[in-house]
Amino acid sequence: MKSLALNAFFYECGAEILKAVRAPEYILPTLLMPIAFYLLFAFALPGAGDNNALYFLATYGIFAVMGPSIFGFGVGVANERDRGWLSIKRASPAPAIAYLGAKITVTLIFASLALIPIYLAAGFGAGIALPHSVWALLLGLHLMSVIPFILIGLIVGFSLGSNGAVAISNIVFLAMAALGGLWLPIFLFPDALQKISITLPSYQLAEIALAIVDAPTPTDSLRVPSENITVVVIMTIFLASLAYLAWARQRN
Amino acid sequence: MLNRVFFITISSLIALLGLVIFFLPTPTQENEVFSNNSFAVENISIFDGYKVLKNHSLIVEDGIITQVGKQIIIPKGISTFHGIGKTLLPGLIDSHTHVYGEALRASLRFGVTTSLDMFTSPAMLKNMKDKRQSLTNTSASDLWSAGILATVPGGHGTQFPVSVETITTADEAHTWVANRIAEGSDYIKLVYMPNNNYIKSLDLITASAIIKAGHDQGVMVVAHISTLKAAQEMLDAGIDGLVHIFTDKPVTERFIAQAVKDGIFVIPTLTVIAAVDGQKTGAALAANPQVTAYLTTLQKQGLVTNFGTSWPSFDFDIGMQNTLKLYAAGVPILAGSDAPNPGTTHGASLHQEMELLVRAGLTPLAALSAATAVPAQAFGIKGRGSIKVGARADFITVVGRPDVDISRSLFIDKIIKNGYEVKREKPEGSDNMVHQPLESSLLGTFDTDILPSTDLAEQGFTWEGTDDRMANGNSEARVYQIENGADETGGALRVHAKIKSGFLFPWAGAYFARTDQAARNIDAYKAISFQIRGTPGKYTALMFTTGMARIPPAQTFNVSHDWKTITLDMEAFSGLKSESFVGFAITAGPALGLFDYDIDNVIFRE
Amino acid sequence: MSLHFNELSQLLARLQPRKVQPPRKGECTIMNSSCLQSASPNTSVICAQGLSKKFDKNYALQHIDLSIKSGGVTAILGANGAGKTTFILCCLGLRKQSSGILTIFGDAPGSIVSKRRIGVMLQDADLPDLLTPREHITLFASYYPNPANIDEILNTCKLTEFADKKYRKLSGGQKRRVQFALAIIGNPDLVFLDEPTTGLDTDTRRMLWDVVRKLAKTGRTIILTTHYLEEADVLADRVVVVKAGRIIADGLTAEIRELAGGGLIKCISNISEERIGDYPDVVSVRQNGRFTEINSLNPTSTLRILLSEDQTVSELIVSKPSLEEAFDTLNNTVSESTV
Repeated sequence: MKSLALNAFFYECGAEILKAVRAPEYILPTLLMPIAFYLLFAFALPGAGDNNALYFLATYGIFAVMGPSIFGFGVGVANERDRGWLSIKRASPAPAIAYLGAKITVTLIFASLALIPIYLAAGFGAGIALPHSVWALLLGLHLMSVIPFILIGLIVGFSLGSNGAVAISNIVFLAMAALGGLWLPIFLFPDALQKISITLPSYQLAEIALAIVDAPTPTDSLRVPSENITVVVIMTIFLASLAYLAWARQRN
Repeated sequence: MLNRVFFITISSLIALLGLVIFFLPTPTQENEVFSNNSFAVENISIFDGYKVLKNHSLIVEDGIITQVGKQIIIPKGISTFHGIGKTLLPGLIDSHTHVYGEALRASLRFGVTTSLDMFTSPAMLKNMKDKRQSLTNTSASDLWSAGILATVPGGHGTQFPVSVETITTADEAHTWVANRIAEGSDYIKLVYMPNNNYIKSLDLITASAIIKAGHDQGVMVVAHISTLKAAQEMLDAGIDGLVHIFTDKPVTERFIAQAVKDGIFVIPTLTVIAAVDGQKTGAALAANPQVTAYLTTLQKQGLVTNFGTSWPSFDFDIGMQNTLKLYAAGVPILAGSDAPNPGTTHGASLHQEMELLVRAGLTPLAALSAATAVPAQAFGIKGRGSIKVGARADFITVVGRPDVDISRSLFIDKIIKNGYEVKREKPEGSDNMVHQPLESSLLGTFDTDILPSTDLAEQGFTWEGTDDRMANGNSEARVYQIENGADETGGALRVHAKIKSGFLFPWAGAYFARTDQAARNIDAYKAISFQIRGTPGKYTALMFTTGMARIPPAQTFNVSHDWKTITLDMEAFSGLKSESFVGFAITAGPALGLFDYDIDNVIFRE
Repeated sequence: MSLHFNELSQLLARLQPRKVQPPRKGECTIMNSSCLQSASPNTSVICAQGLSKKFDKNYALQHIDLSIKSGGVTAILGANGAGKTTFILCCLGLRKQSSGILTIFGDAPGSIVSKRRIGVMLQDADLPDLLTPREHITLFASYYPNPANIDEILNTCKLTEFADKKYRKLSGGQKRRVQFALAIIGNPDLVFLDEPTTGLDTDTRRMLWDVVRKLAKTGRTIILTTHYLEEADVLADRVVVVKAGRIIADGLTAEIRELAGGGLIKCISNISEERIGDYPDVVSVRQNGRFTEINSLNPTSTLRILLSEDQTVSELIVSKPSLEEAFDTLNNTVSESTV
């Protein structure tokens, strides 16, 4: 019956894609905002240029995948739960893995679509040249970054109604982006704020991305990506546990 | 239906991602850029020798920098690489080094494109000037040299296996300097260490005469000193620069004022001073992951070696403080490593010198200048040490900003010499102990000179005197050729050895080795034989190998006034690593006294 | 109403009466469970024993004992909040019982094996707006090992005409048809329909009834909650009446109908009410204008006596009570007696 689950997964993916494509008003902002911000910060604003385009390539890539992850899962799941759709799904033999897997796949698809224009702008606009392996590794990391954000989205989606989920998702999204140093490097922040920053997965993921492209460090310190990876793994395990609890709470 | 939607979407997306990754710009392929010495570097931070120019580009044509700027137009078809996140530095200049063997290649592996030698065998100066004029593809840095140094017999500089034309009186100064210029020396280095109980030195009059003779004949004169007093006397005598910082006392206001006024420069060589003062900086450098991959085993050994004893009046802290004070007053500070002294090595140690200059209080920018533009200016070397139009395309690119974090100078991305990229490969086989066999079994017949057989002499093997002064002893050895060797034919090697107390196991004798101590395999031989006569007594034969950390394997034998043949089984040299033979010595000692002995027909037997 | 609870109890005793008891503290129903022992496909499709579900301090279900055998339509009848939906959610594994035993096809509710044999139409569940009925049904078909033909189902549920319209643009009745189609696309052995016809237009209701009848004919088991007595009356073979989380009556539809009074005799007679009231089996008598209405447990014998005593009886009508009347009766009786 494994093939049944796999087949169901393909159908779920198709359904999720159609749903997303038929509601462009939801998906377009999450696709266009990152590239718009990247163009603004890396090209248009004063102080852009120099080595910033490389720095922002790493951080805005994380920013780009956050939108589809947090909103797709947080708001999407909360909405389907509100409508009772999730109950029908859970009563049906729909494999949970196919449902979640399809949502993750679609998130990855839209994360990719958000990344591509940024990569193109960085490569052909800012003249950033990286070996194929580094581009591929960066893409891999950016796509992998959806995982903690999806978990955050799931926690929000399972815990809150759709209205609450929209509000909280926005707050989480903005905090992750701004405080995580995705828009501007955190060394520009006051010390207290920097301490908060390093507790955010967005910051830790951005540091890994910066290490991959070997972007110049704004301060004297060297990057130690192995530490960032460890922190991200721990954060992910923690978030996964929370998401599981939020899901288990559904059935009482 | 739904699954087809998915398959179509996912396969188009994967194809799209593949295409994007494939077509995104990549750093231009290395061989594309460097198969010729014309190319462009775009969007890189350029340290021009004094300051950083952000987001600049540069064009190299036929090994010469032809354009530098922010908005330059890069001609179509020229290979280009992007330098975002990187800094371009002029090729580094090591202002104090001693060059032999692999030194120039080892230097270039770490971005040192110009080496200012402060004492080497004149043999090394051959072709030096031609080579540094040319723009051909090379794996070695370019050399400027003092040739041999000015010292008295038995003074500092005579302890090495290089024959030194010594100087004792002021009258000889003019001729001595002329001889150096004839040999090709670019400048004159003298050793001035008066009032030293252990080492003989030029006196002030002779030293002053050398300075004057140098200036008269149009060359710069620099001095090796170790004390403030000696430095002050050299300053008074009109010296052009000091090749060490003095570390016995804090620098005086008078000295500073006079140094600024006279425009002298100082090469502090903090790296070697740290090593003498037991700071273990060499071991730290050898362990640095940015360094260790590019070092040969021999270099690593050199770095972890200590001077053994901590010498008086070598205070690293005073050295750093004096350096900072002179820098703050405006005295040009030049970075020099004094490699390959114990605790230092060619190339890598210059980066450590910059780091120590920063530790002393210089800014990273000033430390970079000390290894680039400042020495080029001090020694009047044109077209090097700075990035500007017309300069030789000698430069390195490093990842990150060494102008903020000096340790970034070791994060080397590319090394460009004469417009060609240098491969940072260390010599093949330098790590494993597979050495080539010794070129000839005939170590010496001494029929016309003291050189070994032709095959070995061409490889740089020599016979030299060796004594315990290298271990702070007082014994002395002198070797020379005499006529009428064993069996009354040809000649022989005469050893004049004075065994004096000072070192625990005093020795003096004759030493066969290559000047760079390169190893050879002598596995094929079962014994070594030679003929010997001389002052009766007990003598010692020693075998030297690489990586020795203990007393070398040795055998003793008796000598009388009559020639006799000594044959020593190789097996009896207990613990000998015959696959990495470095040298062979026949010495007198440890009994004190005068020993004169003659050696002939030294042969390895199969 | 003059029916007494005592009499009702007698009747209930004839119909496998249930003793409704609150669960005792510490009661262990796992051992000795007939649900587990009888977990073979031929016996119970659904088996509940001592099933209770508590939300905070209120019982939504209290000690339900119920066994539903394979085949036929069972209606779970009750007012809003009686616990019908909670029972179904428990059967689907969407709610976990507080105590007691519940098995579906001999398995725990919510197991993938049982889910593959179940189809569900939930009361207030809505589908994603942006897919078409065909896409919804196709997607659901992919969950099941032996789904029905999609076009056939579209046809059966009268969806063919707007199969490719977005769900958002469908009318309420059309949406319910899509939901119903999802319940039956998997060729399920057991179908839960939670208030399927609430607020439906008559066309859709008739369609749904037709399909349910057809399914029942092919041996499927259908569980239907409703507060439309008419629906249970026309569709169900068996009716389970729940009130405040308890089963108050359970039997074949005809039996339940009888429960509330064997039959209603309506006629014009000159025998006095008191006299008729003394007849055996007569539950109640009342004068309604010219008509005398006699509620009897055994209308045949009552009628025999009445006809022997009064030759003038005219305009005689004998009828079985509707389920609605029975339901009303039961509901009121139990509530009166338990208060």
